[in-house]
Amino acid sequence: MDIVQKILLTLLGGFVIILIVFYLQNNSPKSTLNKSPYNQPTFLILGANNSGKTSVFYKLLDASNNRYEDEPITNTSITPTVSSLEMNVKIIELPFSNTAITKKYQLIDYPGHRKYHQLLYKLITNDITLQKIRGIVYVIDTSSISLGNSETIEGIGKFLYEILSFTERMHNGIDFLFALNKSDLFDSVPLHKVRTMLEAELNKLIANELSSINKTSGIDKQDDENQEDEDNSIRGNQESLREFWLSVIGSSENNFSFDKLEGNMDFISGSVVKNKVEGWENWFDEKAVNN
Amino acid sequence: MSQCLIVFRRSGKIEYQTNNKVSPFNEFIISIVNETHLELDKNFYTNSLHQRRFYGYHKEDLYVALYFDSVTTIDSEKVKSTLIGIIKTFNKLYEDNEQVQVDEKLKKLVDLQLNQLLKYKQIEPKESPISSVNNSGTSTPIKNRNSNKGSKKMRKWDGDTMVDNVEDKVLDYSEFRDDSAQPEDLEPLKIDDSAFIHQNDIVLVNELNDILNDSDNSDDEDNDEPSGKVSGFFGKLSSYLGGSINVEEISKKFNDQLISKNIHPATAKTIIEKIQNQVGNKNVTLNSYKQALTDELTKILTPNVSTDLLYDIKRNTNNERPYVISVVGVNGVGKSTNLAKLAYWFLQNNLNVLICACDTFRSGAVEQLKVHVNNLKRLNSQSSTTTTKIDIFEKGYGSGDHVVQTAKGAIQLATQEKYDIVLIDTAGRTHSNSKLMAPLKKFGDAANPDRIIMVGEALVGTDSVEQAINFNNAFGNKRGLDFFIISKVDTVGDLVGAMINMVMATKVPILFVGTGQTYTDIKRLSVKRVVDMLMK
Repeated sequence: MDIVQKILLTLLGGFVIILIVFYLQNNSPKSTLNKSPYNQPTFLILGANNSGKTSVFYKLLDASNNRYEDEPITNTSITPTVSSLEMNVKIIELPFSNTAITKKYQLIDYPGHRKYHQLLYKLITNDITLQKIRGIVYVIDTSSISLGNSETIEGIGKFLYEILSFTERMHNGIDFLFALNKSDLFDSVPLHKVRTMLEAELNKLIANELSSINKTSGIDKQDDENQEDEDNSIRGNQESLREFWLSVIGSSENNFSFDKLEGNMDFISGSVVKNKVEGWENWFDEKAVNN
Repeated sequence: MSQCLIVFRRSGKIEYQTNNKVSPFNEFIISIVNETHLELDKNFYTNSLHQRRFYGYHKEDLYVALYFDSVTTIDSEKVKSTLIGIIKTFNKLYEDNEQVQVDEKLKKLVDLQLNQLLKYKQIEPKESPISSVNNSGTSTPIKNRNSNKGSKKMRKWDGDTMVDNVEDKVLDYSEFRDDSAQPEDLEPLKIDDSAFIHQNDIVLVNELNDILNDSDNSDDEDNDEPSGKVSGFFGKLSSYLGGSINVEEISKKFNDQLISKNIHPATAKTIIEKIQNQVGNKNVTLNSYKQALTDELTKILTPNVSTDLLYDIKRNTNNERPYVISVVGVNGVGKSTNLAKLAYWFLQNNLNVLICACDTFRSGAVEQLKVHVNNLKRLNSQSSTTTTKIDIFEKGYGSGDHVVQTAKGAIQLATQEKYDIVLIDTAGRTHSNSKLMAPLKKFGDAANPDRIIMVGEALVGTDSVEQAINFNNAFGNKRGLDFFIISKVDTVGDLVGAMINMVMATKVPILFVGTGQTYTDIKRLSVKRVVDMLMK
């Protein structure tokens, strides 16, 4: 073999190696594509429009960043916000109280627009996946103007009704914190009252669902049909919505209460404006330490 | 008259606000989400809500929005160039400096631009100097004059503790300006050197012009960039393997795919342009592009109002007046069939239904409904769990006021005999014939239905856009359609583009889809499944 052939072969070999390396690099993001970037331990902040989700989000981030200072800054400033157009994602180090054992969590603040609900469900089930959700903060505006409106409470009830039906499918459920925001207002609805209101609303929806036994109209049967198709999602091979809620409340005569759910449902009031967020921070600490 | 201007990010964080009256913006943003706003120009929105006039403009992540409390006569072009100017100012300042210094300066620059804008409202100018804002230095003298006139407004900064600092800057900048090619700038300075305010203004104006001109250049550069994409064989190969792709090419491919699924070409173009805009010049992979498109289609189809019809009706049962639902649509789309399906559903949910035959035009229409009602009666009596009743209200055929009389009669009867729901069937009509569409308004006013549902067929193709728009407008400007029912979905396979057409054109959500001939062949819309079909 003469020297020219050797050189040519070496060049060819080098070229092939370069090509392989190039495509391996290009492919590396593809291999992780099945795993969404959001698939990591997560706390979700949800709630209706205007309840204060983004304010809570920034408050928590502030609290997390400020604790490294020697003198704890009593930061009473709040980040002014308007309705979000997309979700906020930030990494937060928890727990708040102890800086020695912090772990990184993903904190997601998802806008409350009804238009985004389908995308939210997809985010929860396919991207983050239920196993990775460490807790859900549901922010509620407790001012009477907001809660006194039957449409608001209906919207909240309907949303919880749907979201609980897949968070509760996890073993032991997913823990919820109902963050009752704006408790500084003089017309704020007290904690136990909010709880009763929500229970009553959910009870209505469940009763409605259970009463629709033996209905043959396609509109009522929609859930069963969907499940045959959605084989990759969590809801796929599970029982229908009706059976699920029946299993939660026991029998159709019983009333719903949050205690009957597997996840812990904590109601803690606070106020971002008045910087009363210790209760919520403690909740985060508890979840972060226990996980 | 009051106004407020904010600069905010998509995340909802407000970066800058002129005053604290920000809550009205929430509604504006919700209207952007629901796409009920008016898009005047690319990225430039407007909307009127509660007697406030909103304007919004966004560049990538950054939005700037403005509202006036009263009806204004400001030309939207001027508002737009002001908003663009503010975004540029904002970006420029944040590039160079740290937060603390920026706030002061930003406030001044933004106030200056806002005041200039307001002046146009007050003096109703013959010409529009602000259009020259984006041009180079020639506009400076004009602006100087303006700001001199407006010096009283500017005086509020005078009392700031920061004044001293600013003075230093003032001198700096004016000297710098002297060196450059505009000696006439100095004139106002010399005439009135008793007040620093004027100097402040001039410096600000100069600075503003610098910023606006600067960013113009950088903008151009930005726009040039995407053309330098890798193309050819290797580009294609790598796109299959998950590398970045040629956005133009892939957009065209998906555009064709959407059109092949029966989506109106103009609608498809709007969607694709939005996606292109959204993914921008970033490193786009085929998968991320697909994901963006899927999300967009999902968003379009997801209803923005409660679709729980039963819930609404049950809440209404304490009311004297029955819940009135009217069904409209073009000829032969299945109005009566879907009406019967709805009736069956209501019966099963323990609601009493009165069907009103307001198709008093086509021969056999009333008889057709009678057949349905007889069938439903029989089915209803067989089922043991329900104790509901169904009946038909008809007054034969006739023209003119006959329809209105029939509808009114039906509602009256239903009130007396405690029916929960009145379902009104109307005559099919061609949406492009205004003679046939005009009576709809009269009918809508007289019967005043709680819900107006339009039945559209999935078969129809691109005409669906026109149909939806015409029917949506037929009831006058205070009333529109509430829901769609899309019929004959079982006959089109994957080609369900008509749904996207109708929803995009009117922003009215789809409630149910009809999938067959029997009373049970009606389903709630499964957004996920429709999107999957479109993306296949």
